Amino acid sequence: MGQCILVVEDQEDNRQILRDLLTFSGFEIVEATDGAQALDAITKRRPDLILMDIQLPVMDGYEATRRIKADPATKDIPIIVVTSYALSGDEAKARAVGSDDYVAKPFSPRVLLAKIREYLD
Amino acid sequence: MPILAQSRLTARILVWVVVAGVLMFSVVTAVTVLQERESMYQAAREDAHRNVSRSMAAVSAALWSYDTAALNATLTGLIQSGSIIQAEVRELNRQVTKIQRADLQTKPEAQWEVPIMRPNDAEQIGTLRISESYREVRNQLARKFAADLLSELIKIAGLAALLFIIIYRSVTRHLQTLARDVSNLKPGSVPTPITLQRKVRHDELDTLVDSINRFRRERADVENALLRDIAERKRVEATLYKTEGDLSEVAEASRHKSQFVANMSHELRTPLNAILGYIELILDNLYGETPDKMRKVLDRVQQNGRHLLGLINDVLDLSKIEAGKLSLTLADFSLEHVVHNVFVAVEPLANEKKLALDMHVPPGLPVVHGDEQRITQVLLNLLGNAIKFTDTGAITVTVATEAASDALTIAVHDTGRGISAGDQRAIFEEFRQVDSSVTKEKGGTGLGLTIARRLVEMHGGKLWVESKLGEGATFFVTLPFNAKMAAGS
Repeated sequence: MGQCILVVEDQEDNRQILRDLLTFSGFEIVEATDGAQALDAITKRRPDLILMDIQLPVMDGYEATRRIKADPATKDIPIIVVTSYALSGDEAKARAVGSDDYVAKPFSPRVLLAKIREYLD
Repeated sequence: MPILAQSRLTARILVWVVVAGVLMFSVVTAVTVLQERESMYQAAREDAHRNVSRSMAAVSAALWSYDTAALNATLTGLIQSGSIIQAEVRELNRQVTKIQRADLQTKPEAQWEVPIMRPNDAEQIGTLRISESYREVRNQLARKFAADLLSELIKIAGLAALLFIIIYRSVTRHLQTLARDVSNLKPGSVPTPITLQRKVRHDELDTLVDSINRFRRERADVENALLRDIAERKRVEATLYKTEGDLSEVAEASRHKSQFVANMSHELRTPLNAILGYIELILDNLYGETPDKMRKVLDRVQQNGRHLLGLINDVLDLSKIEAGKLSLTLADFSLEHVVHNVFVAVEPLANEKKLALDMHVPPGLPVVHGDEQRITQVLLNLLGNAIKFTDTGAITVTVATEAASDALTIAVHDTGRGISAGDQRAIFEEFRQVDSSVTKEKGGTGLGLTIARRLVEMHGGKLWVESKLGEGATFFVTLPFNAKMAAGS
């Protein structure tokens, strides 16, 4: 059984690309379309890594990240935040809420995969 | 007398004239009267002696014949007028008769005697004793003094009235006219020159009127100039407010437009990211072995897609800068580190064109406070351009500190074809490159330098180029060590 990655992303195409990329690379993935769903999914199954988009409905990526990192049970799960290029200062914000790393959109699937592998071996 | 109440000055002058006149004439009259007193006394005495000597024959005859009645009648005649108040006839040591005025109250002031001779003979038969009083003379003097004084007073009063009329007609009424005209001056009114109703010309009053008229005219000129100035200022202010309003509307509209473009670019990028993501997965054979023929086409699709993404990103950046939405994330960073990173990033491009890359960073460079990402973006753009437009030679980056101005300078020098003076301005304008063939040949959006310059300016720095055709170009960036947030400007 491969390692499990939680993909939090509200856009179908991006989820599809990540799903194809990560499954092809041998990961198992769980998907969530907003921050609240992500927190829900973590309680059901603890992922080995989280890819967190920032612009999400219901609860945004910052808030979700902050909550996961505030909970002692889940704070060790690495979170890579996918920041939107459009919003300057996202990187600083991402670090402020406790994310482990960030990737700026548009990301190359190849580069993202390399970053994920830094945390999962 | 209202006319006097209004002419206080004239009234005061008149009071002085009257007082001085009365004093002067009183003294003069008093002196005259005193001088006249002696001669009047003298005249009274002479009169008395004359009357007595004229009566002496009658007295002598009456005494000789002892006709007391005739004697009394003669003596009564003597005391009727003049200074004689009492006449007494004595014979030896005996009083024969004595006649005195009925109202006699005053004491005799002088007494003298005349011998009474026998008629037609030199033998003395008696003595006539005469007593005189000058009260009548003094009364006469007093009456004369009073009459003189009264007549003088009437003259003075007449003179004063005349003076008042003269002064009023020639001075006071003109002064009143002047006072009225001057006090009626209203700001901004066109002054009608003051003219006095008089025949006399060119005296002190006219000088005064001329001065006042000149003053009024000049004051009116100054006032009118001021009023015009104020009106002009108000008009300019009104225009200014309107212009400001218009400008702020224009600025607002411009911000809305920039906001729209920013939103639009973001919306455009989302599907484009997906397209590029899928292409990369296809090229990575994620969906099975990709045939070479298809791979070549997909390479072109990917290149065009990336170019499109670059364009959209630049448009997004610029519209965000113009909408005031792009804020710098200020933090301390090492410029040496940034330059090094940029070098690593562009090295493959330089190597591909066989260009040398040199970097001169002085040791002990102070920590810079600014937006590291944006400075990186600026340097990437400058070095990218330098490599893009240089075919042979080297790209040199020199960092120098300016202790005097608390700033540092980064110079990016290339050995490319150079930029003409006219084009040096154009390259910083949106969507402008030296010529459109360059765009086709070299790629790029034509927005990079515009954005770079704006980003540097947001740091409080400057970005400019120095170049000559055929001699390469040097792009200079000055950055303050400590950037103040100048976002949105």
